[in-house]
Amino acid sequence: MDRHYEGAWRYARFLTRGAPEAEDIVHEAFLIAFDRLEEGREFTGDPGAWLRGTVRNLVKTWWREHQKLTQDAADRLALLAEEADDALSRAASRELHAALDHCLGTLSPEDRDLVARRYEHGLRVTQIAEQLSRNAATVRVQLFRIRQALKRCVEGQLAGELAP
Amino acid sequence: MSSHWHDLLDRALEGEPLSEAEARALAAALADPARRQEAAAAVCFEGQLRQRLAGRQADALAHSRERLLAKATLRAKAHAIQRRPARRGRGLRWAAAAAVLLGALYAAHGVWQASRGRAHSLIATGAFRLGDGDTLRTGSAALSRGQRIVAEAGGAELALGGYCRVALDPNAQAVVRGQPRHEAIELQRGRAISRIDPGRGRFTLLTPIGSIEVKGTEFLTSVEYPESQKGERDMGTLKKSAVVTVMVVTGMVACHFGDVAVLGPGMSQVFAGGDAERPTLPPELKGFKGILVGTITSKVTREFLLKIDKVAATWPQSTARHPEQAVGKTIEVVVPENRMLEKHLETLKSLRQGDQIIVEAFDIQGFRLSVMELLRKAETEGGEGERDKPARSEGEGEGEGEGHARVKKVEPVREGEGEGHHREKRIAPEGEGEGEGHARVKKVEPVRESEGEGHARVKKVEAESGRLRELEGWVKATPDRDCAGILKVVERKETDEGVREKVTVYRILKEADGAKLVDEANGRRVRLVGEATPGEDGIEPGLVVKRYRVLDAPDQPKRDKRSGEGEGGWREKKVRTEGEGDGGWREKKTAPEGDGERREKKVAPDGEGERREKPVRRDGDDEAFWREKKVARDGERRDEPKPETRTEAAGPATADDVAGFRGMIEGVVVGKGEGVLVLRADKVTRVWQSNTARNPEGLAGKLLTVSVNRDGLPPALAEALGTVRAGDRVAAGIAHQEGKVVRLVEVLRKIQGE
Repeated sequence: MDRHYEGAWRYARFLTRGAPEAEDIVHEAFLIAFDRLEEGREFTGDPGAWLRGTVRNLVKTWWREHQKLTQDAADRLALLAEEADDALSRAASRELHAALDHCLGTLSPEDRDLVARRYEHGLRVTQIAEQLSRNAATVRVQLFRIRQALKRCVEGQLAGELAP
Repeated sequence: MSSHWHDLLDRALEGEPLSEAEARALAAALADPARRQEAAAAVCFEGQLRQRLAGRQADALAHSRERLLAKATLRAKAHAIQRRPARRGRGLRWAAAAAVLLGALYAAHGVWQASRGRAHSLIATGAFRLGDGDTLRTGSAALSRGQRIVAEAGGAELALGGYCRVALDPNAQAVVRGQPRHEAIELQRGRAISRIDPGRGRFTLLTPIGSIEVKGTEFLTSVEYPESQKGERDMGTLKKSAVVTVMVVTGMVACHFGDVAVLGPGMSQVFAGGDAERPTLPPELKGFKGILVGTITSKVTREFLLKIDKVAATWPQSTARHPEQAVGKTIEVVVPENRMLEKHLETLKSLRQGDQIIVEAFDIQGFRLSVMELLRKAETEGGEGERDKPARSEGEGEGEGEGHARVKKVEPVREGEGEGHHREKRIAPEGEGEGEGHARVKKVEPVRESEGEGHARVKKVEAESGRLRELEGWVKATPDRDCAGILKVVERKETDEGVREKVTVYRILKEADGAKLVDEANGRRVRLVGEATPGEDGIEPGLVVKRYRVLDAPDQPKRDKRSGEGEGGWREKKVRTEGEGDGGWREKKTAPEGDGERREKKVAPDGEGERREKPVRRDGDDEAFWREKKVARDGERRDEPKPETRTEAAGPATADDVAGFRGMIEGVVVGKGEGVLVLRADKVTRVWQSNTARNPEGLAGKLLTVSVNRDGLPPALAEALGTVRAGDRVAAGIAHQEGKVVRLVEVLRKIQGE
């Protein structure tokens, strides 16, 4: 359990953006897994992948019920989550970390502060907006632009390193 | 659109609700493979960013894992309790064992770190009390055999004989027993983790129902009493209801609970006291969903035992066949661990043994009922013929069958109701009021305005053919912009053949200017007749009491007038007239702004000008008032102006209308409740071959009560049901079920763009 809990927990928090329900979701996934094992059904593949898949399905239900998303939209998001899971499960390289660190260092203090609030402290956009007395939409757009800039920067860094 | 869908994706992942149009737009955007790839890359990058910056969050992760362990343990325990007759000696699930093992290891680690180096004979450390009357102690204290220790917040630890260390969780109670080289503790309540150094002596842990003997091991024991009062000390008494969980971390333990069970590392087992009969759910309450009135016979934190005095209501989705036969029996009821239901814990805390309560309870776990939305202390009321006798007014009759007005309850009066203080409410005399009987509000519960699921309880009494019919209703506040709430009314009728109940769900349209509520289903009208301000009449501050009244007799649906939906002519602000409190609401048009003082103009029935004046009720003239009101309302009924845009209002479908019907309809969702959907059928689009209804097209324009049992529905249909909201236009496949109820059988889909 220990081996897979962290992965599933992070994945649930990632998909729900740190919503309080993330913990319930990952717990539910584990309880389902316990039931499965009790019934004598072993995991044929990677239990971690199975758990993340279960988390994804539960999050999909949560999207539908909590956010009133249509079935179609929830399905699309789940597909997206699956693709992101595949990418995330590939261990991030040291180069990527170095590139990320470098690019974070290029951000303005204000942007760095925003990124810290969002990703280091795990605050939701609405919480950040409240703290900064700004509109949530404004914060969201700012974060979107920062991410775009960081992504471009990281890609550039990696391309530069790979270049002969 | 290029950046718009990013925003939508961001919001969706953030947990913000999207409108239907936005959700469709997002789905459409993600349907494009290129966009989805772009989105996946963006989401993935964000995940990497988060992973890089968030760190390990070791504490949060560890706490989360601990909570999972606790859940697994509790679930295993609940299962063990559920299987009680056969559970003695039966092992728990390995998963729970593994989970708790990890938890025990985690907890044990802290214990040993703290306790290293202490090996005196009998010593307690931490926060604890020695016996009930003792003051809180912190630090360490020498113990003597026979002494009782109660661990306080933070827990306590016992060091016994230099080779036994027992960590007690907060609130755990234990008595030191044994002798040198054969240490023992009697764990009366709570959880203990014991570690025994091998080769130094024996150790026995006594529980109310048996003992655990070890020679060198580490194990966890918990003793709980799902159904007894805290504070019992006698082991004989405790034995009756104790549930003991043993989990072994290392070594072996022998559990003497009747039989001997030997547990090894990683094993766990739940044992239960079998001497006393634990109340099980009577067969007649299997599948029960409804409201019970009963007396609390004992309680612990979340659970209590309830002696059933009355089955006040049975919801349509209940599958219990004869719940009334459970009256007089004692059952176990639990407040489920659910954030929405945590409020009940405070209520439960304030209740005492012997209190009569009203509780909405469902059979979910199979062996006990779970509290749902309602848990409160019952009002001290006598039987129907005896309530509030001292308050009866002069001149009224002795029995309800005689149709005399009776004082039922003193209620606060809403400001502007004509009297600024408490006044007596009366039940309309039989034959007066409207039709066969006039429903009157008898009692109302506070509504928590701040909560999305607040509700008010409406209880009414109707006179009918010399019998009293008791009605209870719930107004459930919903976040629906156009709906003031869902009112569930349970009609309970005592006949010679027994008690018959009928549940009707109404959708109450938003009140106009806080004044009027109109019920959509069955054509009956309900009306807001009062609202008390916080602090009045013993109401807790922060709560608001609303009082409603059902105006029309149940068997005479009001078809001639509806307000709210579809009434184009009712745009004007509606205000109240003086003395409206007893049913004579009239709509008025306010004067245009800038007209100086506000003038109010009554909408007078044609040719009924002399009846425009509403009677103002005064103390002591009840009989005259009721007669007067009856006349006035009759006038209203006949002559109220019809809405401009509707020539005929939808009325409820009768049993004859729906008998044998099987087919597809199109219509509008008028209301949605637990297990029930109210549809206004606009047209019948298809009649299936199996249909036997004589006039299936006659359903058009009728209100249909559609039973929807989610458990029996195909997944796709259940999902569709979850997304349907009041006001949606839908197509549905329905079939007659019984009476005037139809059930959803095949299709339920929204019709867009209409």
